[in-house]
Amino acid sequence: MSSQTKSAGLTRRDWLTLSAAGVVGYSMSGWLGNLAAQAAENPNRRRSCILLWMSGGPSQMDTFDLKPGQANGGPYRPIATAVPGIQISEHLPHVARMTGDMAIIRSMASREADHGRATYQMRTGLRADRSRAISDARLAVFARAGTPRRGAAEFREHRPLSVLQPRGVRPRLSRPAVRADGAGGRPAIAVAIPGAQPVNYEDSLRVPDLDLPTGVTGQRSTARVDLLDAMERDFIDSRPGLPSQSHRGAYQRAVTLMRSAAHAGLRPSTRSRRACATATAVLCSDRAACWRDDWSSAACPSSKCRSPTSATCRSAGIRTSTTSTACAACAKCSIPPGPR
Amino acid sequence: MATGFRDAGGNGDDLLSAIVGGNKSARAGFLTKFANQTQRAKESQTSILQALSLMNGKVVADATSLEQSETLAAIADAPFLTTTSRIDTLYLATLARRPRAKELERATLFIEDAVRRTDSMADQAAAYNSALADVFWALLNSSEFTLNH
Repeated sequence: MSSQTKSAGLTRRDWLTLSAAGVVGYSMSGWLGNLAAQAAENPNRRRSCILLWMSGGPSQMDTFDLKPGQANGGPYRPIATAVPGIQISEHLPHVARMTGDMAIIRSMASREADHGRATYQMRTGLRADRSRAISDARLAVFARAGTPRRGAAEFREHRPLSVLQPRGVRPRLSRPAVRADGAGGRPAIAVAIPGAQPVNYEDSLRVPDLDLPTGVTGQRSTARVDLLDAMERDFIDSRPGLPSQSHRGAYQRAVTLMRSAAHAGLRPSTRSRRACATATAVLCSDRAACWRDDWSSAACPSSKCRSPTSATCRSAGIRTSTTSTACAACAKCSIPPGPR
Repeated sequence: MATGFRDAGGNGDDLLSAIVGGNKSARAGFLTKFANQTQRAKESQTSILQALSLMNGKVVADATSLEQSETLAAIADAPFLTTTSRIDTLYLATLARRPRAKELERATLFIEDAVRRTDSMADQAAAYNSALADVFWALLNSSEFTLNH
């Protein structure tokens, strides 16, 4: 056994040795019992599952899947169990009496052909390519979290399996802070990557290439994204299938992400937060589409809001109130401010 | 290379740094991000990070910049080319085919619209070039470029 394995904490062998000596067994039964009792008393308890992932345990052909009579079978004899038709190893006679309470899974299929990758998928619910699966899950959360109000609820609802909230760190999902340097606060979400070392949350959450390249304005980006989308629609029509759907889907999510990041991170300093929120609500019902450049709808790419004048906004069905209270926030509004 | 963009530091050092760790260069980061996650072409999937990288990253930004990209500069500057033949050339450079009638019309409208929105002659020339760059950008970001080229 390498020193690396030993340094990772108690090895399974250590554990068994300690259990045999009565050191661990007693104390473990103590907290486990307390935990179970507390969980049982909690009326809001959720169904839980304890997973014992016993890498290095005895082979399936010696235990639950003997494959009798087959070339790839093991050396032991099968015995009948409490459930007619289920046979397990002769060395597990006690377990054999309990098969009525067991569900033995002898084979399963996934898209992974490699044990390491398949293990990763089983443990996290995500495909093994970290740069893809984990990031996508994280970004999906971030994209939703970037839109205030909806963020917190959607985070709870759609939280990917591998996203955990670290103890003592509150996700800032409702309203990311704005820093003087213009870098927006990111929602603090930790992602559990098996075997990963703790990292700086802010750094780990910094999404590369989220900002537009130098010299590309929000308006220009919107125009060319629209052009791209028109091209993509034609391509998908002529060649439906996973790759083209996936390509367009990823782009749409990426655009949402860019816009919500711009929305959350950068607010014009000349307006108060309240005014901005009001302007957004009145002028643009499509928050995720709003660019950073200007809260005025002239810069807003949303198809729902093309004009900054309140008359147009109202006619577009976006304006909820005919009083100019809310429109006062928008410098370009043609209706004068009314009483707040 | 379709983009006409040459990486100044593409001499193998980057790959080395990717293998031995340390400071990952942009190139190595790009390669990592686009590492083929499956051998089966029919299951190829695009990730959000890949999309962001292609839309906003340095590689494509440079490739669609008049100052950096030889392909784009040549197409934009050649005085004998019409808008139609410039669009033709961009399609040939990226997708190895000419645009269909509908595609040509869409790209032409896109460029004309951009020019129409500007007032002064000097700005119009700049708007024309940046619209041409945007057509190039959209082609480089398209499914067809990723999947069919």
